[in-house]
Amino acid sequence: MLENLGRRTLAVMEGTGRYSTLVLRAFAAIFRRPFEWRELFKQLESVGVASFPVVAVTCIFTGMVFTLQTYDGFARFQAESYVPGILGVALLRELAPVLGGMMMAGRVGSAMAAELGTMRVTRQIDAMEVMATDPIQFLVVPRLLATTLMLPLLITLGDLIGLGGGWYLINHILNAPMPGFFDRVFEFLEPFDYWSGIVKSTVFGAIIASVGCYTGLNTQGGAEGVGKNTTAAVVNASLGILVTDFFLTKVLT
Amino acid sequence: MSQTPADTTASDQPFIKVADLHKRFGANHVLQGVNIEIGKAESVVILGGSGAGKSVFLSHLVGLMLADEGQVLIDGCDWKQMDRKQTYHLRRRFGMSFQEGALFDSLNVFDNIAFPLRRAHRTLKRGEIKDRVEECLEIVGMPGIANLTPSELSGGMRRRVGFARAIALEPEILLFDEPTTGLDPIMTSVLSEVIVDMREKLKATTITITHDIRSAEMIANRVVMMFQGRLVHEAPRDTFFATQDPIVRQFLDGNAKGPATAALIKR
Repeated sequence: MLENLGRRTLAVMEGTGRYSTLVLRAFAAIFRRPFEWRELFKQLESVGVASFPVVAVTCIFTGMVFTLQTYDGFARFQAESYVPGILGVALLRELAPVLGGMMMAGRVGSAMAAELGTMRVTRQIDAMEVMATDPIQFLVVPRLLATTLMLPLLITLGDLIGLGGGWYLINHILNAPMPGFFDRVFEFLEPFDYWSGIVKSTVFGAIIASVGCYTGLNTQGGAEGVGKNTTAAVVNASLGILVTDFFLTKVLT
Repeated sequence: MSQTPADTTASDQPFIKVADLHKRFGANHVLQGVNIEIGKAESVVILGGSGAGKSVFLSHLVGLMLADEGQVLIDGCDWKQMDRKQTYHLRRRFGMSFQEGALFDSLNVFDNIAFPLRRAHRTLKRGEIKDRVEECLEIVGMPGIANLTPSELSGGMRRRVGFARAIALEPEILLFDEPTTGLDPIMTSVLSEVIVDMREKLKATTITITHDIRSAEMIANRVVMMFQGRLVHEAPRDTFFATQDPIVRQFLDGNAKGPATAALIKR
């Protein structure tokens, strides 16, 4: 049993070391020529534009559910007017970055792991290496940059959409007209509430892409391996987001 | 193992030299001291059964794997002594065709063949790339398919496109990993002829790993037999197939019983 525990601990440490090495190599490769503009634009489109509906639906329903819950609770002591402000803080600081990030881990992280994993098992990555092309520079860097740049933008839009969801719920579903809903939101919010969410989503973007790419590049064992690793990428990126969220919140509050 | 003089057109200095190459994956000792010298413009076929270590050996030749022990020297350069930049520089002298082609699924045939050209020659104009891609497709006998995607190609077509991509940079060394495995006998002959044509046009050193005897007879100047991580027999093509070496004989005759089977069971 002890031997087994030791072996597992070593495997985890080895995995952590290899992941860290990949992240460092990827960051170093960002500043090395040639720069893969074509790949970057392709990824910006696939990570950003194509993911907008997922983030939009996540944020609008999150905003509506949160508003419904807080409105119901705050109504017990006639504090409904605080709902817009509370919604703004919760959404911008926590709900949009974390839930949006986890949805992106499912959509983008899994796609990266599956695509790179398939390329690995069909030897496309080896072919790339033989053609004197660094897979980290050609495949990882554009994905890392695209996800890190696009997630904060998507979350910014998600913030607005989530607030819109809260407004719609109060004014049109609960039939409790609240004039000046957005004024109350912006009176309550401070710039830091927005920026803390943006810092989080930037870090989450880097986690999603790096975990997805690392998992994909280390795939073994054919189609079964691709399937297993795709699941692992989503689980690990989601866990990474939740754990990092705690530490970032501690630092940013 | 006897070192038979190579049937080569080049100088005495070996272009490729592998000395006492060992590779282990955990407890599995895959390559157990491989030694071979290959001259310029020579065509060597490495025959061997599944699990003999052929693909691992080929990966060492192109620097995708590094030796645990021993040396792999390409024109005097040792993969283990080179940094990333030098490695990529040396790799530009190689063209490699993978089993099943290993074409990039996300790119069409044109972009697959143009990939090494765009990477190696950043200043090439579109027209020059187009001309070269068309020329490569002509060489492998597949003109007019540049706009197809890999998913639209048959197994034989995928391999030929893989060949076209491998020769795009007019490499000095061509490596073929199981180029005819899983294909019908007619397509096997067609692809073997394409390999011979490409070698003659490029004057390239060609190393092919296969377990297809018919293909080996067509392609090789020299044939080497790999068994359990060692090169157990080598000879010029004309004499190799008449050998009485028991392991080679069993492989060539396809007998279920013999020294090779006994050794595999003992292992």
